[in-house]
Amino acid sequence: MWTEWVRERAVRALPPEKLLPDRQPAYVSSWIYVFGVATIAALIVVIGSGVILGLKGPAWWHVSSVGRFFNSIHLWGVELLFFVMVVHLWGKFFMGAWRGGRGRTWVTGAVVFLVSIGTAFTGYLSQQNFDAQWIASEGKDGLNSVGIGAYFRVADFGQMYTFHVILLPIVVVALVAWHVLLVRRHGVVPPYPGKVATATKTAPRGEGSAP
Amino acid sequence: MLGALFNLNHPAHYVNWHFFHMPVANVVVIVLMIVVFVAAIALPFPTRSREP
Repeated sequence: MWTEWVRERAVRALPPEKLLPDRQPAYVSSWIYVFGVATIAALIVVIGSGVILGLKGPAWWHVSSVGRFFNSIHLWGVELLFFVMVVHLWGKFFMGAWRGGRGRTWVTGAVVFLVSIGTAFTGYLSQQNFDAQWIASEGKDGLNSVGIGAYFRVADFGQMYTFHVILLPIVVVALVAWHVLLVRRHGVVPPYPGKVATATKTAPRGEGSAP
Repeated sequence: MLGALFNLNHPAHYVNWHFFHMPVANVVVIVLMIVVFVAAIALPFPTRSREP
């Protein structure tokens, strides 16, 4: 049965103790390792507030006080998402998070960052206000200049709204899930070995030094 | 209704220095990200004390 084949491969790739570990290496006790999960927390807030905005519609998020509140939650959730995602990116870049067979983890993170920018851009275009019109005209110039203006009608609310609430969120969530599963499979990247510790280990001060 | 903390009813202020041209709000966000990044590396992480 194909289900048996899938199950055996899945368990071999991600055994339960790796999928849901109950302890982490000592080096994970640092604030810099917090920003990955902070990004996911912000993403949950953004998706939750976005679902409510989508169900109620533009008239609600522009006119009613509760609608404007959820509109602001969605906007500031995105601001926070990009803030913590960039700090996460810097942290992983400076600790070389692609080391030790973690290349796919790094690449999925980089791609989801780029797709998130596209998702945020289509969100600005979905506001249904003068800001959206201005950003659409600027964006159209940019897309035309790189030769792909014919494929993305940024002034078309319907097309941009579909990109924003269905297509791109599916890609973002799928990539985030893949990214997290890869982190579970390969583990959190350890920091670079310290130069002082390495030097001490190979040539202790005062011992074996040249005369 | 509470008013906004900052008056946004004016064109954005920009930081201009040679080729560098950026709204003050964006500069503030970038500086805050750098501050948070450095703090995340420098500040000690609270660890649970083990029972003897």
